[in-house]
Formats: sequence, structure tokens, C-alpha cells
Amino acid sequence: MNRATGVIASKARSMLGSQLHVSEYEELLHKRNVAEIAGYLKNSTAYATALKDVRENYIHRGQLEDILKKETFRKMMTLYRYSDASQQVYYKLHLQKIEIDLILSRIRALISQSFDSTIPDLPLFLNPYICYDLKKLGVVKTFDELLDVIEKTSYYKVLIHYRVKKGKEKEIVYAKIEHQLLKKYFEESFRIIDKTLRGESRKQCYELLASQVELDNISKIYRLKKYFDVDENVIRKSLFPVSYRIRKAAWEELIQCSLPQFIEKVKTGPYHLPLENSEDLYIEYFIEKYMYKLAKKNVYFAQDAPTVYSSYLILIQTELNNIFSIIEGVRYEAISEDVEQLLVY
Amino acid sequence: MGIAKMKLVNITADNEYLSDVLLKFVDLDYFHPELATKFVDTVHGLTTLNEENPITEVLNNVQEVVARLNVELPQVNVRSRDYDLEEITSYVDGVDSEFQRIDNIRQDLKKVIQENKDALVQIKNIENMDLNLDDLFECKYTKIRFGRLPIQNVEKLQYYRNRPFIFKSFSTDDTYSWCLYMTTEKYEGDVDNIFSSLYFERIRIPEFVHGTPGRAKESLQEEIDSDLKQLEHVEKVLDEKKEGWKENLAKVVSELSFLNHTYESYKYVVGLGERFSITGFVAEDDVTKLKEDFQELKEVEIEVRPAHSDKRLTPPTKLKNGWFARPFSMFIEMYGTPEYDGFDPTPIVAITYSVLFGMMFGDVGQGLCVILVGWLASKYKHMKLGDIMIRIGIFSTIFGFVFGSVFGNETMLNPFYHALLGLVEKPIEVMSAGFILPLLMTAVGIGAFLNMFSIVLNIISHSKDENKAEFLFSQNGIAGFVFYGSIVLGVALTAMGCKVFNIFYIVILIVLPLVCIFLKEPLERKLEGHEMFPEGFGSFCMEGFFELFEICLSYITNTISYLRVGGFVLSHAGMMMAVTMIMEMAGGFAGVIIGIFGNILVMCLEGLIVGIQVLRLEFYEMFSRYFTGNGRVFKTIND
Repeated sequence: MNRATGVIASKARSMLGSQLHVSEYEELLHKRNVAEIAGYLKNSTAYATALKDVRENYIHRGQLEDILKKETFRKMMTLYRYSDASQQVYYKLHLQKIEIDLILSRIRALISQSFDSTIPDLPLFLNPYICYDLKKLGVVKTFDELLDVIEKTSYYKVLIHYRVKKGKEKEIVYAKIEHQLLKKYFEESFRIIDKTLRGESRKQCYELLASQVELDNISKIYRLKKYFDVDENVIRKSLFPVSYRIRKAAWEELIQCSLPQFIEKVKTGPYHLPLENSEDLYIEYFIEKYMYKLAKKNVYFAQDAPTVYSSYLILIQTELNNIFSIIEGVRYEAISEDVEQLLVY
Repeated sequence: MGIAKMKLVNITADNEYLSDVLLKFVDLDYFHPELATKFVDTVHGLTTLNEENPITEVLNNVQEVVARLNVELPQVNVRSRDYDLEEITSYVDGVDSEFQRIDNIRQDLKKVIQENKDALVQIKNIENMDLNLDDLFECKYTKIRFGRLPIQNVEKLQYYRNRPFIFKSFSTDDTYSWCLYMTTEKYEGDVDNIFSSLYFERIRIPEFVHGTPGRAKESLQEEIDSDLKQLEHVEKVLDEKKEGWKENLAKVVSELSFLNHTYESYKYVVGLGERFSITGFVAEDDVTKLKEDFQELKEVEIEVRPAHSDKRLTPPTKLKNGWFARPFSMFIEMYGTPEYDGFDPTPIVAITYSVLFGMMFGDVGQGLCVILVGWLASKYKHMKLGDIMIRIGIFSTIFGFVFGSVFGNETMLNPFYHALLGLVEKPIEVMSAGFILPLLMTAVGIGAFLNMFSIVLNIISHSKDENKAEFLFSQNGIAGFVFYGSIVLGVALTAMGCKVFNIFYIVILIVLPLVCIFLKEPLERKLEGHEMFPEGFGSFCMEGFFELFEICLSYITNTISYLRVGGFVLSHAGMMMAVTMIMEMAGGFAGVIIGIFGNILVMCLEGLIVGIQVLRLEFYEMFSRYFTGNGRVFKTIND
């Protein structure tokens, strides 16, 4: 075990100790407004330092979410700092995902021509870490301006094919751009894993990423069948071409079968997701739960830093999503029992 | 010493005396009650008391109120049969609403003080400006907003540079920029919206603030001081109220806890029509005490029978040990409870644990420290571990004398050896090369002895079993003892030059017991009158071979495991030697400090590790041979 592994693994496991416990989630579920949630997180959880200057009674929901996102990023960078130089290109993959998400967010703003509302959510604290100027991305109002910002990055080659002229932003084919960017990201990730990592490390990181992609594909098939009732070819084209646990033939079966058959196949398939054939099935919950359990096992038992690092990121992101679900629940006055069913821990 | 002898007791009376009996029953700290369902399920006509407990909800409510008040209630003991639940609820609700009323005033005051403090920060930022605040805020066409903006959002204002506002930041802390912005009346709504979207927290300058910033600062400070005094007064009033409420609340909590406890004891009451009974176990020595406790209730009948007289019930185990062994029951309870008809391993653990710990932590000074810390922990924190530390500290001290070590100093006791034993220096030098091998061999010898001792204990505990297979043929029975003991004895005698491993010795004392162990299950089936090899001899051999291999391996590993005893003797001495060397290198006062901290470090580190290692030896090497821990714990109603 090299030094990076020892440090990252130890640090991740000790930082895991400050994750929210079941009892803390139960307390949060009983809060009646954002102020109470902020107050509880500030006074009773490990978010105390991040929220120390916050006045609970005045804090806005978006501001609270911003602070929590920043804190999550800070935790990530705490581990990243100790990464092995030879493997740093792997550790930077997470930042690539963030870069893509920000570009897609800007494209959505271009389509809707609603720019002011994106400014508060712009995470300028990320600017030193990403490959383009985030400040300039914030003023982009046309597709050409977007291309100028990302000109010196690898995303340019993808987006240039979907260029639209000024005034024609509504013609942007968002779905295709998203698919291509994510496809590029996954291909790049698999390539880096193959090139940079070895042995058990490569195997486990590959498993994490491939499982994520396959489960995303499953979610996509489910949603396209249930809500859009689209043609098989459309489903086929929207999937990312990864066959890790599910073979190509099995993917074809999943694409071609009916929705109840699809649920049955997924239940009995390699991932054994405990789906129920109900009207309000929220498949993403089961997917997130699967990834959470896999990540938790890896953090405790993996012997290599890249696996521990990637797994830890999944765990902290899941916690963040849980808190956001609780905040949303309070905002929309949802019953706490309903919100609790969305939480993954 | 060992397991207390039990008696099965039946308390019976007419239903009208139920409350009287329960009043006494809930206080019994020597009575192990049995659930009524054990009897009701097996006998027709018996009933349980299924009354709903009205007290729990009220008690929970009171405890929530006490938690909100954040007071520590005095210990009182109230147990009255005459109570009015409505009156209690009404009183507690009254206390709660009065507290809420005063607390709301307090919170409002705090809020106002905070707002004024924020305003003061802003005023201080502009205190050097020569302007009048009244003129500033009375501007008709210009709107000014004071407040604070999250630092990360200050940068985002560049995206609004074409909007009609002026922004000025005065100061920043870790998270916020204290600032103001100005805009015109026409664009007030738009600009306010922009800043609101960036989470700008507006700080209103209070209306009573007038004049120049300097004057405003004074009035704000006066207002804050006045509010603080008021807050102090409110808190004083609240504290006085809380003091007044404490006594009554304590009585309420005590009474409700008692009533709740009484209701919870209903589950032990069996209904016999117009009569009821409560069944349980009492130690033989406490039977007289039980009869005395119920003496005043002439109508209550107490029937005492032998512990095993009711086949539906298994007698619980209550450990009874002397001064030395008693604290070690904590370790036994961690593993399991001895069976009532079994034996109590507490005295054995007490002695073996103390001796092994003493050997591995042998130092006079450190042993005395362990005794002292243990005594303090026991006296002031009431920790059972403290009592254990006193005992193991004694043995550490004794072995410290044997190894001649006092806080790592290996020569301090030489005059003692010379005076008492006529020796020039101590008899055992732990770190000498010549001592290491004998030490390790002694450790293995101790291991072999303890293993055999554990097997003997297992033999004794199974000697009265109807099924003799475990007693005779198991690896922890007669066969195992003969096998293991023969090998150990043979090796020891061979090492002393006496060759005993001849064909007869090997066949009779080693091979034959091994075959018995191998055939334990078939022989057991034979003794029970069943077929020896129901699944075929071949299949049995396959499985049996690997099991036998595992058994033989476990004998070896269980013996070698005790090498750690020798290992820790050496490591303790080695660590103290390192501390002593560093002390000598530093010299003077620095050396003393190093010595003190070095000893503390070794005591904590080694003490913890040795304690855990000895416990491991007890649980894994010894208990696995003779102790199963399947007994029932003796639990009174208060447990």
C-alpha cells in the first residue's frame, strides 16, 4: 500500500464518522422550515463549521444549499490533496463531470433565455479547479460565446457540431449534446482507469463506474418506456454502450420487452434491484441505494486510494441529496414519512 | 462463591390486594419475575392484565417539558396511591405555557439585540462620514440599503454591472461582506430583487437612530445596553421561576415514574379468576427477606418451591462472588451468562486474568499507578473497570518485584534483593539474551497448562450429562485431555532428556484418543441407539478428516497463542528501556519530564493492549473450551 492509499483511506474513513446518522435524519425530518433545518445542521451536526456565521432565521434555501455544496466540495478536495501524482488524472475525473454539468446548465439557460436566475447558483468557488473560465461562462448569452469560453478544452470538439446561430437558441438539440458529452466523459473515464490504474484498483474503480453507467441506462429505459412510450431505436440510441454485468443480448431484451417484463428482468437481473411493479415506482431510489451500499463497502474494505476516493464521493453526494430532499419536502410541505422514503442511508 | 441457589416463589392473593402487592413488588431488587404469558399460554382459564397504561404519555410529556426547561431536578421519592392525573397534567401544562411565554420574550429580545448589533456594525463602517442619517434615509429619489452579502456572491455582482446601483463593501469576515448598495426609486424593486437573489441580508437601521453616525452609534449602543439589561432581567425571572418549579416537577416526575413502573409490572401478574399470582425466582438466602417484606399483608400467600419444580421455567443465574472475583463478572457477562446448573467461571477468570496481566505489565511503579487510578475510577465514577484495575494492579506490582522494574528503572530494587535475598542484583533480567528463550518457553508452558485446565473444567461440567459423548469423546473431553496432555508431557519429558515417545505411548495415548475424537459423532449416535454412519462411511471420513485437521491445528494455535505473554513481557521492558535511554540522553529536568510522559504513554498504550490481549486469551483460548454462556440473566423488575 503506498502512502497516498494509507492517507486517503484513513482520512476518508475518519471523515465518514461525521456523516449524518439515522437519528439525525429523523430529527431533520421533523423540522418544519428551512430555518429549523439550518439551525439543526449548525448546532448539532458536522456542518457546524460551515454554517457558523449563518443566521438561521434569515437564511434562504438556496443559500443553505450553496453552503452545503461548498462544504461537500471542500471534503472532496481534502482527500484530493493527498492523491498520488501518477494517478492524479484519475482523481480529476470528478471535476470533469462538474465541468460538463456546468456547461449543460448554461445550455439550458440559453434555450430558456433565462440568464438572471442562473447567476445565484453559479459556483464561482470552483473556478480555480476547472479547465475553463467559469466567470466568463456566467455571461454567455449565445452558443458562439459558449464555444469561445470552451475553445481550448476538449468539449469544444463535441459542441461545435451542434452550433446554432444567435437568435436560434431554441433549436439547440440539448438531448444529443448531453448524450455526447456524457458519452465522451464515460469513454475518457474508462480509458483513464485502464491506463492509470492496476490490479484490484482498476477492477474496483471499473466496477464503480460501469455499475453507475449501467444503472443509469436502466433508469433511462424505464423512464422512456413509462413516460414517453418511445420507439426501441430511440431508447437504443439514448443508452451508453457499456456491457459490464448486463450483456448486449440482455440489453436488447430489456429494450424490447414490455414495462412489467422489464421490471421483472431488472429484479432478477445482475443488480437484483428490489423493484415493485407499482404506478409510483421511483427507480432512482433503488439505483442510488445500490450505489450507496457498494460505495460504503468499498470505503471500509478497499485497499487502494482511487476506489476509496470515488466511493467516498458517492457517499457524500448521497448525503447532500438526502438533505436537499428534506429541504424540498419542507418547502412543499410534504409529509415527513413520504420524504423519509426517498432518503438513502 | 459461584452461582446463587434459587427458589421458585409464588405470591398469591385476592384481586382486591393487587395494588398493595404491586406497591411492594416494584421495589424488590432481589426478585426475578416471570412473564404471565408463560403460564397463560399453557393453562386454560388463566388471564393476563391488559389494562392500558395511561401514565406513559403523561410522563413523556412531563419529561419533554423538563428537557425544554433545561433544569436538573432534585432527587425525591414520591410514591402515592392517591393521585389525580388531570391535576398533574394541568399543572405541567401551566408550567409549560408560562415558560413558553417568558421564553418568547427572551427570544424576541435576543433578536432585537442582534439586529441592533448588526446595525451598529454598519454604523461603525460609516462613522467617519460627515452626513446626517435622517437626511440619508429621507431621500426621496435615492434608496439605500445596509446589510451583508455572502462573500462568494460579491463576485457575481459583475454580472449586473449594467444595472443602476452602486455597491460599496466596508468590511468582510470569513463568510460575509458588510456593505451597502444604493439605487434610485424607479429601479428599487429590480435592484432589491437582484440583491435578494444573491442572498443579501438587509440590516435595518432602527427608527430611533438619528443624526450623525457618531450620534447614531451612541444611541444604538445605549439601546443595546438597555436591551441587554432587560434580557438579563428576563433571564433572572426565568431562573427564579425554574427554581420554584423544580421541587414540584421533581415530585411529579417521581410519582409518575413510580406509577408507570407499577403499570409495567402488570405483565407479570397472572389472573386466577378472583385471585392473582406473581411467579418468580429468588435466591435461597433472600427467601426470608421476601417473607418479611410481605409480613404486613396477612392475606398474601407466599409459596416457596425448588428451582426446577416448574418445567416451563428455567432458573436464572445470579452470580455470587467474593471481593476479589466480583468485578470480573463484567467480563463473563460480555461473553454470556453461565447456566444455572453449570459453574461460574468468574473466580477462574479473576485469577488467570490478574496473573497474566501482571506478568505482561510487570512494573512496581506502574502497577501502583494502576491501583491508584482504578481506586479513583471506582470511588468517584463507580466504574467496575476501576475495581478490576485495583486487582490487576496488585499483580503488576508483584511481578514488578519479580522483574525488578520500577517505572522502567531496572536497578532501583537491587538493594532490596541484596537485603532480602542476599543477591547482588535482581534475579531476572528481562532484556538479557539468555532470558528470552526461557521466557517464551515458560509462556508456552503456561498456555499448555491453561489449555489442559480448561479441558478439565469442561470434563467436570459435562460429567453429569446424560449424553456422555461430550464428556468422553470430544476434543475438550477425556479423549482430548489424554491426547493433548500426552503430547505436552511427552515433549516436556523429551526436553528434559527422558524419551517417552515409544510405540505404546504413541498408540495408546495419542492415536487412540485421536480416533475417539474423530469418531465422536458416530459414537454419540451409537450411544443413543442410532446408526453410526447414516450418510455412509466415505462421506463421514471426508468431512471428519478436515474437522480433525482443524482440531489439531486449534490445539497448536491455542498453545502458541500464549507466546504473546512472553512477547508483551519483552515489549514492555523494551519500551521502558527506550524511555529510560531518552531520559538519560536529555538529562536534568527535561529528562524527568520525558520520564513522566514516557511512563504515562507506556501505561496507557501497553495497559490497554495487554488488557485486551489477556481478555482475548480468556475468551478465545479458554472459554471456547469450557464455557458456553447459555444461561438466563437474573433480572429484577428494576433492571
